[in-house]
Amino acid sequence: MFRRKLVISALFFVFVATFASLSFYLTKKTDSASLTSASTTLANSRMSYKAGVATGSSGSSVVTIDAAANPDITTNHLFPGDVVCFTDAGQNGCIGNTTYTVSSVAAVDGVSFNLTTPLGANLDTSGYVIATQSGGWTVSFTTVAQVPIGGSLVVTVPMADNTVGNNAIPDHATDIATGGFDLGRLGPSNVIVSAGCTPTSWGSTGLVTSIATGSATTDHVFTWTRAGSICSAASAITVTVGGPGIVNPAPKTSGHTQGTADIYGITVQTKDSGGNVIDSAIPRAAPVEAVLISGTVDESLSFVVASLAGGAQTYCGSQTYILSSATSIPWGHFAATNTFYYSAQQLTVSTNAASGYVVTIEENDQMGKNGNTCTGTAPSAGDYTFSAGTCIRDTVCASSNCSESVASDWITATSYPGLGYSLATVSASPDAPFFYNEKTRTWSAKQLADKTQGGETAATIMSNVGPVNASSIYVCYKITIPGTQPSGYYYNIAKYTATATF
Amino acid sequence: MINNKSKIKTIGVLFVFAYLFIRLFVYSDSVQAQEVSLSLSPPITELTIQPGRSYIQVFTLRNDGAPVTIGPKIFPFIPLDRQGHAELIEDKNSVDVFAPWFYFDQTPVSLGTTGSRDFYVKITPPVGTEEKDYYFTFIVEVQNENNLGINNSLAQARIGANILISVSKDGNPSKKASAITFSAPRLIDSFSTLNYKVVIANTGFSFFKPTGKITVDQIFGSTTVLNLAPLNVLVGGAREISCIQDENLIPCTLPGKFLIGIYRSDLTFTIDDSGTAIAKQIYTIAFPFSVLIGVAIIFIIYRIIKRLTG
Repeated sequence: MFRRKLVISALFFVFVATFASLSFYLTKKTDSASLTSASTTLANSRMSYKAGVATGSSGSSVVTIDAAANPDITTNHLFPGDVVCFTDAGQNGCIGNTTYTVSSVAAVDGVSFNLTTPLGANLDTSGYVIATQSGGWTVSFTTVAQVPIGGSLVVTVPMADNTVGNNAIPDHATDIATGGFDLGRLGPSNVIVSAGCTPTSWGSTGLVTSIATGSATTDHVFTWTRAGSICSAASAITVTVGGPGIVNPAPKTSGHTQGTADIYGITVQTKDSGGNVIDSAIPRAAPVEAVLISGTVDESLSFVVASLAGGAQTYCGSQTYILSSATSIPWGHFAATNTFYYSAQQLTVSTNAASGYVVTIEENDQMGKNGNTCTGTAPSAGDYTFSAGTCIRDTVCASSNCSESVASDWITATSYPGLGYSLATVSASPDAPFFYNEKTRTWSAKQLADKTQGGETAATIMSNVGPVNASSIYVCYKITIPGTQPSGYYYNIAKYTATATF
Repeated sequence: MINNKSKIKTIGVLFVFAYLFIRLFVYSDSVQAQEVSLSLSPPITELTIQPGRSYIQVFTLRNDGAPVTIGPKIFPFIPLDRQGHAELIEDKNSVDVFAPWFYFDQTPVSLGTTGSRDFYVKITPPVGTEEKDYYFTFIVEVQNENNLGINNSLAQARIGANILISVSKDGNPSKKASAITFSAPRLIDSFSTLNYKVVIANTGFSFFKPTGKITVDQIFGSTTVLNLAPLNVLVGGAREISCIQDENLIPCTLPGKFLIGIYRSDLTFTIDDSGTAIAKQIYTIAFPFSVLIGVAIIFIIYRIIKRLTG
């Protein structure tokens, strides 16, 4: 009986001992996994600017920086429009609680810049000039294992060692290991889980449970505890930092190359209720200097004279037009007398001149036979005799005469021979002073201003009091000759002159 | 056998034809429409200079049209109207008078498509030049040859840049202005707009730009400020001044869809943002006359209907 008990006890002991040994030697601790698809996106990835002050006097708007060993030793990364703050050596906020705006940066010396307003006080030459760059963050990742109720999500943001990490002044250090971000006085409402695993079950309805500002030796830590439900594996989670955003550091003072990012690791971890890490990842945040993209637009005036196709067209009403070129209205041989012939050109003007432009038209003379002079503005006899010259006259349009300055309806080819012109809008451009169909007229026309022989003033055919982009009109010419017009070769020159308004 | 050969030949020809036809559309070069297209920069130059001193202005001409031959010239001009338009004085005598002032290469030059040319114009008012303003236009004109041999009107394109020169020994020429017109309707309907007309005259010896505003106070109401556009007012002339908003010239019009009450409008401006301000004041009364007339018509119709039915 005793022996049997002894055997049972021995067997029980062996079993327990074996079980304990197996448990001790064969059980392996589980390693935490890496969170997948982890990333950190900075809404503003531009590094903060921080340079030492060399000179800057009250009443002056010129500031010179110290080219000594500071995060920035040139003004290459300072741009017009930047808001700058001048601090003392201890970086105790902006002196006088005043900020200034950069108006221009000297490209030549690389160490001075101008402000839009003069300085209100002398600058501390042991202090700094700072252009703070901050912005929101988006940290995304996907869990590998589930996060239990009571577990937590922890985001660790590096902070520069031995600095004030939450005063909205950008921090700097000699290298990445000792550098980091300033929290910029973020509040809990600015740091939230915005998506994934029922966001309201993280922290206080999504808001961060705690923000632990870093110290001389520790980094900033955002923590959310998991409440309400388990966050299952393979959940995509997004953490958003909004509000004033996190302040980007200035460049590291050792080994930094302008244009090359200083890359900081942001640690993201999920933990169980005991504080043991379940999953983790270290996505990177990489602030870098911005690039100034600039260009100069010169003030200019652009003028285009274009040919227009012949045939049945509608430039100034439906007519059959003669094909023009950019430099001539080739009437050719007049097949019929007392018949209207039409031709047209298109004028287009663009200018960024603030006070606009004007285009005038004038002729060197009326159309003289073989280029002879047509003295005066009207024939000395009949329809084509000008003292000693023979010409195709400028039309008078109708009994109520048109002139180079007054338009009149020109509809009768037989009674009112000569050359005239009218205007039509293109793409609703309002820049012409009159139009062929104005005042319910059939073809409202004017004479070309005969400046040389007639002493007339060039007439405005396009104008605008402000900048225009491709303002365009049709200039339509019309001619008819009487049956008695002597044969010959008639021509003149019409001049378009485009100038900016003074 | 012969048939097969013929077929292959026909197919070959068709293939080559089809290839060339497709290539015609796919690879053909873009065709430039025939046009004269010139750009000139800067469009205006303002200069105050001592007699005997020189200044070099560079005008850049660009050709974006068909190849052209162009020739540069300089003509004096006079203000033509109150809109800032100029009238070129092209007679030989007037041009010759100022020939010693300008030195530039007047040789016609050919410009290909997208070609450009810088014209260096050295401006030197001779010693002893009277201290006053002189206005010129630098003109670049397309050289046309009339050898068509048919009846025609040649079209000559010219593009110009204005040069405003104040000759002054001390660099501080006398500038004087007067507001010859500051007007608006005295009585308007509430639903109409209140438009201002501002004409400023130059009675001094040098061109200037007015800097100022129209301040519109509604009695017992709001204040609206309309900023005057800094347009050049040339000596001996007058300029109708627009207003400016966001770098765009706009008519000087009081914004708002319904105006009512008395509006006091003060025009104040200085010359080139310095010196004593020049001021003028006008009043406008806005009243809903159209509403009153409408009510009156309705009342009359009502009375007529009532009388007829009564």
